Amino acid sequence: MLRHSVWLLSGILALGLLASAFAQTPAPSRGGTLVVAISADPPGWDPTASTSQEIPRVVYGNVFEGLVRFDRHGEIVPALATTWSVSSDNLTWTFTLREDVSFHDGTPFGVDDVLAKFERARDPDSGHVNQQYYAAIEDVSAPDASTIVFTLSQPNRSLLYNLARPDSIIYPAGSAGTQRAQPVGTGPFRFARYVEGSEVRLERFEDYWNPELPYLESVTFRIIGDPNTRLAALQAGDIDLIGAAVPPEQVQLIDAAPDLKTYAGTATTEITVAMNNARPPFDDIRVRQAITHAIDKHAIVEGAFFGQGTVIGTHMTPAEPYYIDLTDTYPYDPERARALLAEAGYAEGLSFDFELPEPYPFERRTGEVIAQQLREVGIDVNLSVVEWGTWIQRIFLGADYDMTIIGHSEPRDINIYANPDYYYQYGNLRIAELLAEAEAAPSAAEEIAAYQEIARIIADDAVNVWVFSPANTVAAREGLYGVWIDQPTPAIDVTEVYWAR
Amino acid sequence: MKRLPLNLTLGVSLVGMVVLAAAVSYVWLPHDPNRMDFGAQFAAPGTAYLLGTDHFGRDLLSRLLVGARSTLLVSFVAVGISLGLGGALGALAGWVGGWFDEAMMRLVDVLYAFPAILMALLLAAVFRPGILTAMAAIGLATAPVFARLTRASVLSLRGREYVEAGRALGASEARLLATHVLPGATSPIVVQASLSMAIAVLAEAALSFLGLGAPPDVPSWGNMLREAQGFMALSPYPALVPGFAIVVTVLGWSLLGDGLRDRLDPTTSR
Amino acid sequence: MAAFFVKRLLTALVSIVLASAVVFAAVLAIPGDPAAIILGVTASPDALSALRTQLGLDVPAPQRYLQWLAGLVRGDLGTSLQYERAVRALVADRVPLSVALAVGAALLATLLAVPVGVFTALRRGTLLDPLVVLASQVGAAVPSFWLGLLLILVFSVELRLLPAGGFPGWEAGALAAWRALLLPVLALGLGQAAVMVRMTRAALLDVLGQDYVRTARAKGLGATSVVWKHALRNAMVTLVTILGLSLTNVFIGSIIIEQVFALPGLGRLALSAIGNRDFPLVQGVVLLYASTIVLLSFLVDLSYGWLDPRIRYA
Repeated sequence: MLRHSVWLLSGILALGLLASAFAQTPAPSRGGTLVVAISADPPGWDPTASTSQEIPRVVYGNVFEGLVRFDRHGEIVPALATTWSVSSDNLTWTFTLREDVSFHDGTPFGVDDVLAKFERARDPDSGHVNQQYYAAIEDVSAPDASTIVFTLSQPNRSLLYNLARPDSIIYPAGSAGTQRAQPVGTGPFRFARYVEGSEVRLERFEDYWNPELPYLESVTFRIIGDPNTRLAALQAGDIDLIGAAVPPEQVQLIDAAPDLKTYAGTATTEITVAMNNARPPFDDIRVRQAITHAIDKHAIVEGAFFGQGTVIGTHMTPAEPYYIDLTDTYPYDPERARALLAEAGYAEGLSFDFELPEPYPFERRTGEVIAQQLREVGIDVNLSVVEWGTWIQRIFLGADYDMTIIGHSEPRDINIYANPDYYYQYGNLRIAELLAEAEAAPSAAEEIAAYQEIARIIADDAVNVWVFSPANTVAAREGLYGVWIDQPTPAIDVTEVYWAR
Repeated sequence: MKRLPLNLTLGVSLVGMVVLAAAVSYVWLPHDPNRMDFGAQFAAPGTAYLLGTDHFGRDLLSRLLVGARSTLLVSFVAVGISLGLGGALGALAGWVGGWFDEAMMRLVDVLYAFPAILMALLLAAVFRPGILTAMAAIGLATAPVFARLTRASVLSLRGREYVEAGRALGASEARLLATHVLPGATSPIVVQASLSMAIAVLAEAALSFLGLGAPPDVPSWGNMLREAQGFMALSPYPALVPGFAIVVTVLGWSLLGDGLRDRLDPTTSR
Repeated sequence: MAAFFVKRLLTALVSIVLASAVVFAAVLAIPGDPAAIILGVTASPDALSALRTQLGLDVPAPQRYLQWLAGLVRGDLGTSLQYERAVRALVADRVPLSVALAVGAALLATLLAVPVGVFTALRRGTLLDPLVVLASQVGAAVPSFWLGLLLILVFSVELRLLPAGGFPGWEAGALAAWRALLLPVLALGLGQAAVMVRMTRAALLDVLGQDYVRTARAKGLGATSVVWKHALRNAMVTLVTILGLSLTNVFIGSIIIEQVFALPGLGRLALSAIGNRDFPLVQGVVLLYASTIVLLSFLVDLSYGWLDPRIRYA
């Protein structure tokens, strides 16, 4: 039987390969407009002023570029730098800048803009977020008009990766004050108009450095918070693309329509049940283990998400290079959960608050099932929904909570487990050491080994419950090509999107 | 013995049904209202699940019965707050009169300017959203009706001879108000309380639909509707069932209120 | 009349000022730091305090209230923290939709309810009367948001005739805009119509029962003429009150209907502003709702005097 299905599977795979090899992908053609649905107004448009993932979803690759960038598969490719090299001691990185690049406001791009950017990125008073990405940079200099040299204090394996992140985009020197309201970058589209709560419109930038791109004349991101309304708008022809997170229950409906199609991709989101490790009862590892044993992740993915997602066992998704499958660390076992709770002194049961973030329907849905599963092993869960403002303030920044659930969508963010102040209140010195080892690792294999060791430690410690990584389902009108299906970083990059003639 | 008017009979029966549903939910339920049956999601009404199931495969009938509890609880407490607060304000204002009356009525005007939804929005932002904030919001927002009603009654009654006689005999102000004036205002207040119950049931459903009411896993009718909205294309029952329940309850209270008015105050009967 | 007007206007203004104090105090009591929300999850304490100063959040509260009031008088509602735009401009963008929704629903309700109400009042004693009364009572018991869901179920999910929600914007053309508003207006207006049918009927019966109408009838004037010439005109006072109440009701009801149909109106602006702790925006929108309700009741009172000079104002 098993053999059978393996054969069947490889047969399907082979067919799929054949099909894609022979599928007629029409040649790109220029022109046309596109309307894309997004789910929320971002807090401003400057990805260096806020860590909200709603910002890069619109501007990454479209409006802003950095020295390097991720492509649709997560590979790091040239953007404002054409080539780069690293010294043998891994301490000096040299980037050659692209020539004849101009910003949307007409000013030419040059070394000054790059220097200003990394000055801000390392100035604690500048308001630039995620400064830890640039902590290893000791000095940035420009020996000539087209060369940028980073001098590091220690080897930094993730430097290039961090330079490709949305945080590392470059805008004109001195424009930081206006970027939140009026973003100006070097990307293929310039920011044209924003109607709060309604839509943002980007228009083709005629002086883009790559004369071939973009294909579209303009793209409008329409803000539609409710997934049903997004679906209705797609069916009605008001929008052409839902670039991420189509709810699983809509997939069948969309595929049933002759002019619409869904694509299942991957994303780097871990739906995470976060526990306050410093607060009883979660300061007892047996309680955390019991909670992990009590949760039937497969039932959640199969039942509540119609099978569209991958069960995970640590803070990593299969879409990331260091992925390791640790789902068997504390498998679903309600009996074992009860026994562990009894051992921890909670034979009579225990009670705590479980708070769900209002804006996120996947998390709310998962949370409801989990609350029920926890009740079945005798845990009295007080479920409530909190507004986003409260979530950020009290739970995330204040770490004043028992249990919550959120999707961590930033790629490669396992470093948060080294921070004792992070809202999990975990903090493990060994993880900080391993991170340093990974950064200084002489080979990729050793780097990967260090990251996987971290993944294993946090899984063994049952810091959180990593439930699953939802599939990134994209829905588009027939005839639309070049859409990003996977989300190696949260972005709806439409640079290479075109309509078939 | 006058025959009971039709609306009163109907109102009493509908409200009785809802009360019965809430009572029954404490002693008997067809299924655990929170048990998820992932094999039977979106079941249509049938023998296994009489009214069908929702997106988690939970039994709609059981959730409907349990939902009657929070509907009744929230609306009773809210109308209690409304009646207590509004009635006290209005009675005092009407009795004391003068600048105090003026000040109280301005206060009531301000309350009137904040409908339950806005009130709940602000309260839920200050405190945690939940049943308590919902009850307080509905209670505060519907208090002006009672304030104006009691004030009007008190004003019209306080000059009456028997009240003046009581005063001449040396009865204290509080005693006069309690024994002579307020009883005269009972009928319109009872009628309004019943009508306010209808409003409170609607408001409770609206608030939990917006996520400003009962916690998400508590099967309140508004919560059931909010959750059902996303899955209407897959099954209409999760959206239909709680909606009907709300209509029945609201209709029951408003018929009851009308019936009471006809009976207690025949002059306004139409 | 002039004295009444001035007194009533003053009361309305006092109510609005009191409401502004209530709104300000409530917003002050809301926990949550807007700066933290803007900067997101990895903000440093330094960046936070810098942004707080920049947003004017470090000024003492009473001073902020007075600044805000002074601004209100000039028509300046402050600046949204999230969008960095004048609250007035943000609100102005959303007002047309909410007003279109409310006025559309009130109009629909009036056009449906007044004729039906008059018709049933005239047929008092027939079987039709209690039937219409019961039907209107059932209609009034249907929550507008559930009716909205039912309309979506029928016209969007099943028949695929009308959009289930969202708004293409006024620049998409009147047709597209009203196509998006049709179901919301129906959801809001039908329930209101049910409420108004009963009120109209009652108002008319009241007038029909009065002596001068009886006299007119006794003089042999036809029923239609009596209704249109005497009764309806005298019932106007009540009808205007009903209309005023209805406008208030649908205006409040539009908050939830905007949510059901995902319409970018004032209600959703208020909801999202609260979620984002955008305090100036919350204050502005909530106060706008409260003031509108106060003003509508002021206008209704005024129209009493205008329509029925017999009314004496104490």
